Amino acid sequence: MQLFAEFLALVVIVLIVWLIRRDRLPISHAIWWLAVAAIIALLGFFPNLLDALARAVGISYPPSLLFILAILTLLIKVLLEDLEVSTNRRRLLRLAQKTSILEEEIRQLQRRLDERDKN
Amino acid sequence: MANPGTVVQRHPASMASPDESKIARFRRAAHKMMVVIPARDEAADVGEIVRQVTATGLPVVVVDDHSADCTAETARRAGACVLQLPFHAGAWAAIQAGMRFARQHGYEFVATLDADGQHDPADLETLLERIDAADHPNVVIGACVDRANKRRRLAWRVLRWLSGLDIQDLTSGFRIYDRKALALLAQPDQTLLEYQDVGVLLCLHAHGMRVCEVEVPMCARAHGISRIFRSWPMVVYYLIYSALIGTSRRGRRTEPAE
Repeated sequence: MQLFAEFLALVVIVLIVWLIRRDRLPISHAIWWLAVAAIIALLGFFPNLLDALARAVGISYPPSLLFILAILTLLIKVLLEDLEVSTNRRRLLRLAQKTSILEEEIRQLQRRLDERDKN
Repeated sequence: MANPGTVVQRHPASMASPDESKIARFRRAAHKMMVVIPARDEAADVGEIVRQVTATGLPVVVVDDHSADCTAETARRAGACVLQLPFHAGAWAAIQAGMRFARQHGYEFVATLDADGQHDPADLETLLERIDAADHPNVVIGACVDRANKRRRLAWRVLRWLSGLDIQDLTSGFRIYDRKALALLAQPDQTLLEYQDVGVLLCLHAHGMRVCEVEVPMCARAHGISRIFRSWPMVVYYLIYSALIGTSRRGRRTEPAE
């Protein structure tokens, strides 16, 4: 059992729960981070797990497996975020186009109304 | 036009002009074609270009890409519809806004030209002739091959090679799109394209649209300088961008849709 890993996992869990309670983090994102915290906790309780896993995949220096897994986790997360950002950018642009179109149409309707009132 | 405000009307009022045949031709086209002019900080030139286009009887929509100057007001005073984007969204997003507007108002063709006076609206005639031709291309590009400086020509040659597109003037903003091309390009999937590269052309190509070119003379820009290819880093960026988009989409080509 590694106290530092458990402490780290606890900090992440508390932070996530706090963010959920403040409505800052949607559950879908929270699940990801809670899973990360769970893995940290698991490896903290059973450090031998990492050694066994490293041996199984043929890595002679187990901590490097930890780094690979950590980097991979972040990489996937960032890639998913990138996808979401472009989806949001697309929606934002569509909305901007729509508002500009609606604005112009309102202007034209207004002008037509004004003309009718004049006559 | 009697009332420059209501540009969306389909039947432009009659106009007396010395060049009747040309005007008549335009008027026929005007029933179904709208001119889209993306503009960003072009207050110096946009008024004149709008007046030139409306003089041909074609309805104009200027898409103001969040200009800092009075582009929108100038265009409106000159008689154009103006769509004002609430933030800087880029030339392609601006053109797509114009396309969506035109489609919503029942137009079948959209012509695009630059707001800086590079393109003579009278040359729309040449483009119209080509899109009316028997083989019915979906997009006609007004190509000005002469304007290319050394940098551009090199970049274009590489782009052509990378993308496999057989088009001389890849970045010309002087184009006519037909109903089918518009239906494709107005979709949300096409919103994140960038205009000043081959993305739009590749998208058309991938969906089996026929794109062809006609050569048109080009006026020098009245004011300012072109934003694209303004420096070597920009050229490198577009080369890498186009290399990626060109090679990643190569396999997605389909047969021309009839």
